[in-house]
Amino acid sequence: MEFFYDINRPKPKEKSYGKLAVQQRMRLAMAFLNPLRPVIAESWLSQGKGSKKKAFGQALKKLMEDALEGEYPDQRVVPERVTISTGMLPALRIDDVVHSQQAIEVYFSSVDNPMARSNDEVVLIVYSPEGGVAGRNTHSCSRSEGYIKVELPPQLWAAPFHGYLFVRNATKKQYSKSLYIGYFTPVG
Amino acid sequence: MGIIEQGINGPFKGKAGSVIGSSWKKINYIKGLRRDKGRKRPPTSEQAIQRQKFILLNGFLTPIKRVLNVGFGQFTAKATSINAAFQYNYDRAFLEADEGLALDYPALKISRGSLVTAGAEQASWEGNEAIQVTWNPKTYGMGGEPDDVAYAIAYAVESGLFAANERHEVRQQGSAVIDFREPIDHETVHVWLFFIDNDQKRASNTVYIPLERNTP
Repeated sequence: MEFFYDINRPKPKEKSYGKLAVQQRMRLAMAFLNPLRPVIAESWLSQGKGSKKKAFGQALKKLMEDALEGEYPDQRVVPERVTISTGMLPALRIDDVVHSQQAIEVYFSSVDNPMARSNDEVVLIVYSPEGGVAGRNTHSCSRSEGYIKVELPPQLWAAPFHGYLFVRNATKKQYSKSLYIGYFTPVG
Repeated sequence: MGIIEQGINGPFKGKAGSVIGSSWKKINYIKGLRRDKGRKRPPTSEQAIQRQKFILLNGFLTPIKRVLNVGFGQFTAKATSINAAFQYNYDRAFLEADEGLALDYPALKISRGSLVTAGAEQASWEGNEAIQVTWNPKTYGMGGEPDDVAYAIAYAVESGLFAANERHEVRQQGSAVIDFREPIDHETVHVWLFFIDNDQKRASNTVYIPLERNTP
């Protein structure tokens, strides 16, 4: 018999199937997005009404709604459907992708649109959720250049990774919806 | 005398008959007085394995408590850093071979966190007392900063010696030296590397770096 129990602490009981499924969805979504937190804090900032925490929460919600498939306990994230950034800016058209051992290059073009400015900044993200390693272009690249290159972190030279591309305006306040470039396996 | 601050259902501090109330890190405990159990029976084989695991892991973690305070610092709200490290490694860091139980050194982690590791980590001997550790000094715009502090730890198995880099080199320097201050010849030495951000809040995961035996 338990003499000293805390009346405020609920009795442990077996969790329901639905609860376990939701918890797994949350865990999967969090594990996928957490390494991208610095980017998401900026690219979803407008959705978070200026709060980085809320911005991340919105991205998490979107991932759980759109990019999870399967039934518990075999649920998984579908990287193609993950939205790294969101916004009104017109996205780019991908013309070609060249993947070498230590770098990835993307050739793109822009559609004619009154909202598309030539000085919009292009951001290319490479990300391995398994290794928790991500990288992005460290030099500035604009919409009019038509070409962007990212040097891969050494951890991605021999590991598969996903690529995402998006555009933001010069003041970094407006963003485009991110484009999924593809899943890249090690070269050579 | 024990005092029950929130009535009969609340936690208490002190001794009340044969029970003792206490709290630690906002966790309330009730402990029974130690009872003399008389003659000890020999442990069952399962108990012996558990005890051996506790001895091996505690023996490894206790001397590097100060490093664990940094590497597992994020997990010390309701546990000590050694507790947190023990909990994480207990299910992962053992090899069960025919000769008995042993620590799986490459699987041991002395830090955990969301900071990115450097990549291209390597270690080589500098003479017979020091080890040079190198890593990729570049950052790739996410998850790591050039001023992240590097912690490189080495452990000589046969002599049981630990050593670490003392200058606290930063990520952009790309290398650090671990000095044992005594010759380490023909020994198996294991090397680990992790980073902690400048605010000492976020840590990276640990990377194990293989190292050849020093054969002068």
